This record gives sequence, structure tokens and C-alpha cells, in this order.
Amino acid sequence: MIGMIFRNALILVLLAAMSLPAHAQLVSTGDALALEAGQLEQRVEAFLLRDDVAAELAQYGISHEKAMARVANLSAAELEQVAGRIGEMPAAGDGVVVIAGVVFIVLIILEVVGVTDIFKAR
Amino acid sequence: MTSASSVGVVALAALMLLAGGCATYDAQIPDSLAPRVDLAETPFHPQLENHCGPAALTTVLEASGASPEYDAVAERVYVPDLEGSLQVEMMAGARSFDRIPFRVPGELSAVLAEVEAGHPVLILQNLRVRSLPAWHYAVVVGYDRADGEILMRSGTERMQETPVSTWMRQWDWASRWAVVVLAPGELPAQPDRTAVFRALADFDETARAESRLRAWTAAGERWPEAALVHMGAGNAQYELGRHEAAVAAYRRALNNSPEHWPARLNLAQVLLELGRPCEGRRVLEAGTMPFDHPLVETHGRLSIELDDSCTTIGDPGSE
Repeated sequence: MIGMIFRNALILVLLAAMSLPAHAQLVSTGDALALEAGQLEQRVEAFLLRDDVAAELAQYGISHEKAMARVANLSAAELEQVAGRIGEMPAAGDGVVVIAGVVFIVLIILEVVGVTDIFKAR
Repeated sequence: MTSASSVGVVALAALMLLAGGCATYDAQIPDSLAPRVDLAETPFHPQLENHCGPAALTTVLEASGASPEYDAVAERVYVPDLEGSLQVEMMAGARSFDRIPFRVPGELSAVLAEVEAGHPVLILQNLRVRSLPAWHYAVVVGYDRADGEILMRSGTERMQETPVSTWMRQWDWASRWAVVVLAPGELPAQPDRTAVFRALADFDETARAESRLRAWTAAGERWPEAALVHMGAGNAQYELGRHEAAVAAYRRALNNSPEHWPARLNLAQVLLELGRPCEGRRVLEAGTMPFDHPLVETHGRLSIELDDSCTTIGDPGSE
């Protein structure tokens, strides 16, 4: 009980610490959704990931300034999704896939004999 | 058995399984849809090397009526050292051009229903296998049931026709990610309430108040019984300086859901700013907030402010 009160107080401190636009006193729709899902705390924490995600993005050839501007457009849920994982996320780029037929067959065999699990697709 | 023949057996087994595996993706274009759709007016941006993200996003943005500069799109979504674009940045990139990206449910019928409704669908594909993926963004612009083909703007091809089973595999191996990008005020053809609310709440974080109001108003027409749609409209009205309209919107939210504390707190706050603190106090007193509610501190602070102001000016509403 005390812990819950303390946690809620912490959320408030974190909410206050975030640099929000002028109308910070209104509860946002994002907060309302998070509240319904019982995830207001995660949401507040996700916003604190912004600097980390920007720093991570800056490792992939984007200036720090531009990275900061880009992460400012990410929602809390999106920040949470990519934080610490940018290098592992699908980053689609090359539409022209040059792959030899033999290599493809070998890959299919590898997947079939259980190295990976392509046929577990629903 | 020699190793050569065992390789042969494995290869044969692989091919047989492959045939069986592909059968999993033997999807049919539903009969409920028009037999053929081709959104021929959808623009085309042949991609530069590794630029399928900016090319596909520019395509769907233009189709939604926006006119972004290709370079400005690339500036927002291309990550040079990854030689590609991330899904979350594709979403954020759409929002930064005053458009709303909605996730489409991971079913072929859902994707094609959007296409039939005139919405080109941005998809992620895996053109190789799961163990060695080759990620690619493309835009679905049509289908042909008789030929069993999906029509796309893809890479350097203005019109790529892919058999539906192949298309399903490539999409399934990319976790069935599909998005429609729409102007504020428009909803997907088969709007899923959770997905729409998520999309609009994310849009709220950075978008202009006029666009947000348009978006929540459209959602309010679709789901008038929800509290969130009215609260979202109220927040946008407030930001536009229309406090009375905000009050009306929050009251609609509370009529639907008296337990909706975000709407109740916002209503009380706006009444305070309108110089009606006693009315605001009555709004707060009409509900009983659980002591462990995460917004209890906001409630406490607002109560004190309302009390102080109401005492100062006196309550015209009380006897």
C-alpha cells in the first residue's frame, strides 16, 4: 500500500520532470489509454528513454541534433519498442534481392532440417 | 548411405516440405471483395539504393493528399548505417506530415478491404527466409482475383504483380505488418477501435490541434459511446482556445463513462481556467477517486486550487 502510494508519487514527479508543452495540466489521451491498460508508469518511463534512443540512432550515421529531432516524433509506445534494439529491428532498404538459386535451396534445407523454423508459420 | 545421397534425400524432403509449406500460404482473395482493383492513380517513386522506406512512404503520403518532398521524407526515416528504415520511424514520419498511420489487422482480407476502399497499403516484406531476412517496404495498390495476384508499387517497378501465395509468405515472414496512411478525419475501411485509438493518441503527441480535432471528431462519429473520443476532441478544442467547446466535449465523455478520471480532471481544470472554480469543484466531488489511483496527486492539487478559488470568489451556484 505504501509502496503503491510511493510509486504513484514517483510517477507524478516524473510527469512533472518531463518538459511538456504549455498545457501540461491536462491529462493527454495517451495517458488515458495507458491508464486504462494499467501502464501509466511504463509510459512515463518510456518518455525518459528519448535521449537513449537518440544516442542509439546517432550511432547509425545520423547527427545527434537530427537524431534528437527524429525521436521527438516517436510516441511512448514506439520509444519503448525500439529502445536498446535498433540494431536488431527490421530496417528495410534493399528491394532488389540478389540471391543465387543454390544458396536459396541450401537456406530452405537448413530451415527444413530445423536450424530455423520457417514452417511453423501459421 | 553416402553423404551425397543423404544430401539428395534431404534436398528431396526439403522440396516436398516446401511444397507442403507453401500450401500454408495458399490464400484466397475473398469473394466478398470486388474481383479486381487497381488504384492506378497511386503515384510511383522508384527507389534509390536502399531507399524503399522513403519511396514507399512518399507514395502513400501523396496518395493521402499530402505533398512531401522526397528528400524531407528520407531525412526523417532513412538510417544510413542500417541502409534502411525502421517501422517506428515510418509511422512517426507519416505523422510529421500531418497524416495518421493506422495499423491494419494481419489478415489478407483486411489489407485488400483497404485497397478496395481506395487506400493503398504500406507493407513490410521479407523477400528471403527468416534466418537470413531481406526486409523490404512496398505499397499494395490492387489485386486480381482471377489471376490470383497482388499488385504493388515496389522498388523500381511501377507495377509488380506477385502471386498471392508468394505475397502471403513474404508478408507473413515479416510479421504481417501493414499500415494505411490517412488524412486527419478519415478512418480505415474496417476500423478496429483499439488500433484507431492507439493511432490517434500517438498522433496527439505531436500533431496540430486542428488536425487532432478533425481526427477525434471522425472517431466520435464512429464510436460515439466511447469516452476517449470526446476527451480527445476536448483536449484539441482547449488547445484551440475554445474552452466552452472543450467543456461540452468532456461532459459528453463523462456522460458515457462517469468513471473516466482523465475527462473529469480535464473538465475541472478547464472550468477553473474559465473562472468557474465552484462548478469545477462540484465536478470533482461528483466522483470518488480510489486512493491508489495513479492520478490521485493531480486530483489533490486541482481540488486545493478549486477550493481556494471558489472560496475567494464565493459560489454563485450555492444557496
